[in-house]
Amino acid sequence: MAIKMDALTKIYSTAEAKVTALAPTTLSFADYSFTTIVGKSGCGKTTLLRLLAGLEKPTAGAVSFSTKNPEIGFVFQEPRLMPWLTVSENIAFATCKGGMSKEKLPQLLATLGLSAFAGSYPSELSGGMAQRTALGRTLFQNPDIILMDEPFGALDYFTRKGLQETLLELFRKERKTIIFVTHDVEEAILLGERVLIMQKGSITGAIPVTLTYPRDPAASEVLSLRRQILAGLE
Amino acid sequence: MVRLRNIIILPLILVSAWFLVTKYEIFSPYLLPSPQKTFSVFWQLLLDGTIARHLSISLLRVLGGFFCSCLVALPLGILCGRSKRFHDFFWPVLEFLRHVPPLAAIPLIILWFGIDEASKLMVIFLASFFPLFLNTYGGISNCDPKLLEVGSSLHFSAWQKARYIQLPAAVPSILVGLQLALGYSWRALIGAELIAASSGIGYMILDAEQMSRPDIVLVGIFCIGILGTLINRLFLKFTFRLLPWQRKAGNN
Repeated sequence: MAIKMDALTKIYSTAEAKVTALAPTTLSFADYSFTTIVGKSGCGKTTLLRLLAGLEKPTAGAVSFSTKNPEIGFVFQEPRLMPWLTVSENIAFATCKGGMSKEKLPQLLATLGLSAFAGSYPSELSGGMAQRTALGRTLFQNPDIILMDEPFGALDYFTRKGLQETLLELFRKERKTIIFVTHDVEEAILLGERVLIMQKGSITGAIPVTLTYPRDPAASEVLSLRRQILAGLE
Repeated sequence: MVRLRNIIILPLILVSAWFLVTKYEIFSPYLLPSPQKTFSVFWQLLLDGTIARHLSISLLRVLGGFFCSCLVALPLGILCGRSKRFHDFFWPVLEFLRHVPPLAAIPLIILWFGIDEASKLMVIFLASFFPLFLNTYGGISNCDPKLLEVGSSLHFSAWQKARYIQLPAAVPSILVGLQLALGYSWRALIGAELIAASSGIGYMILDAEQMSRPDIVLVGIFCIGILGTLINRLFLKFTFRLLPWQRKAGNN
């Protein structure tokens, strides 16, 4: 699913001032591509993602997709699970709208390593398990596009590594268009086929990453990309 | 076992103190009857069916008033929590009524509803309406906007968000409202039975007062307290089943 942003702009008006969260930006994302967007906090990454998801209305410009009404999944920074539902009920949350089958639920639980926790409630889960459940809820929707807003930001190193591997596996198997926002430069390089650098509401750089998966964070190519991106972020 | 021991310590101390105070007649037995006397009167009233008769009538009134209040307060709370327009429409009147104690309205209630069951139901209704309404309203309107946004991201309609996110999120708060309302109904019962009643536990107490029988008054008070506690426990058992996610988290 290809996505095109045409002079997409978002300006927040407060009583004192107008804040440009996203300066007019024209950008496109290819079918089945994995793009990471990296930037400091407050640079507008989340706004860009929310505009793509339709959770926010743009001040100007437009987003268009290569097919009509694509299914868009959104993984939030926090798991945002319904506390009254079990793990499997949370993953199948979209089915309560009706018209969807729960057939693929066991398979999905297994892929995410959640089979043993299917009947647990969110309050009994660790942060990593909760975020896996949230990822499961989005995957269950079978979206064409997955938008991820720093989903692993609050997790410890090992949990994050595990989830990154799961995500890459899913990306290779299922072929989705993924846009992944992060403030972690290393994460951006390890995951993305293209890293976009964002500063003060504008995309200031686009760096293609052609290394094969899985990528070694200690590899010299990764380290040089890291230096290049950090220089771009200064 | 240890828990049971801890639970009965204070009641035992209180009953012993009561026993000693009456044994040495610190107060006139006419004002404070002894525990033995109170218990024997209780036993007598229990055997001749007086307590069962009065309690069953009172219980029916409480449940009737509580049920009416659920019928009105729950939908109104949900509507006001959902829609700003609805909220603004009802709020001034409800806010005004909230500050009027039901007892203050008794003269009007008698005038309008007579001295039959309707007036008693009305008093109980007024007493239990607000805890239920306010908790339902609060539960619905305080729903975490982040959870609602999950609904938006899954393309839920406004109705689906209300049904599958706001309502379940408000259940704990609604249950607290139901519990409070049930307690308030019991408290309002005496007020309701002040209205020229000829039956009910409140009537039994008032009648005993006029006959200068503090022992019967005490029996009546104990009956209300004990039955209220029992109903509350039953209610908690029921809510326990309804909130497995809180039970597992150990919050309940």
